[in-house]
Amino acid sequence: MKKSYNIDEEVGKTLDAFKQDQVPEMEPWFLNRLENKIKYDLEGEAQAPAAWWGHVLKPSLMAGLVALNVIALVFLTDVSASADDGRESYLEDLSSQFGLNYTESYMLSEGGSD
Amino acid sequence: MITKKSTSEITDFRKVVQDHQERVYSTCYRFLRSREDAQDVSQDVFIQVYRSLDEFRGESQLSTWIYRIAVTKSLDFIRKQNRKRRMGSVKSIIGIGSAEDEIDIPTDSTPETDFMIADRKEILAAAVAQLPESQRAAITLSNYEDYSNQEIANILGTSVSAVEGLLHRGRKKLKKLLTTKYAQHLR
Repeated sequence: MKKSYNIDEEVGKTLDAFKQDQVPEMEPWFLNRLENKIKYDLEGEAQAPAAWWGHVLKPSLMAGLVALNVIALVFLTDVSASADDGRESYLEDLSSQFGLNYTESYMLSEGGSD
Repeated sequence: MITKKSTSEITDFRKVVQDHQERVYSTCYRFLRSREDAQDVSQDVFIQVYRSLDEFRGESQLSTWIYRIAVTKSLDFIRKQNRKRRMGSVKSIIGIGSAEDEIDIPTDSTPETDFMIADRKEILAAAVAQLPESQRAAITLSNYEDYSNQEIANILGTSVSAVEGLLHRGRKKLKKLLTTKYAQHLR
């Protein structure tokens, strides 16, 4: 036989369930876990500058240094190339001025620098 | 930032935790209905207490201040969960993952079978979860945790008359929600 339900009665009974609702027990090591967490957070924050240095600053500085080295290398190569160009034109001037060949001009320039 | 405390301050803090951990956990559990989540949020509550203990000005009772943090953290946790759930729903619509199921009237409860007490507790909790946040907080603190209206007013930072209003509207809405649910199910 089908049982009939009174909705108001069901709602009333359900509202009474507030009183029957139990909270499961909390873990007994709650305080220990909390103290460890706080200690870990403290240590974590104390180590934060080291971590900042290790993970962010150090690689950035290294990358910066490498970039500077590359720039310096490019610059020096360029300067040395300009210096070579300058010497070439100087030797050509000597050759044309004194009617010398390249070797003679070179030897003259070497001797002149002594 | 957590600052290092002296030994006496740590002893004081330990005492604060021992005095309030049960009620903080219980309050968090009423909102979250998961032992693990309630314990995690309770830990966060006490970390916040540890961080801010120096700033506690004693304008309210220490317990009120702690329970206010517990309520705020629990509601924050629920908001985050809801955001995740909404994302899950969006993902399920576009075919990634699956949306979490809402707690509803158990499918094995039919007019032929009596509702079990466990079912009723879940049905009630699901209905409470559908209340607006402030009503939900007031009902949870009053009906589950037996806080007085004055205590609830202190915790929520409002007046006693406002709490009475929240409880009145909350209970009315709760009854309506349950009636609708049962009417659908027992039709």
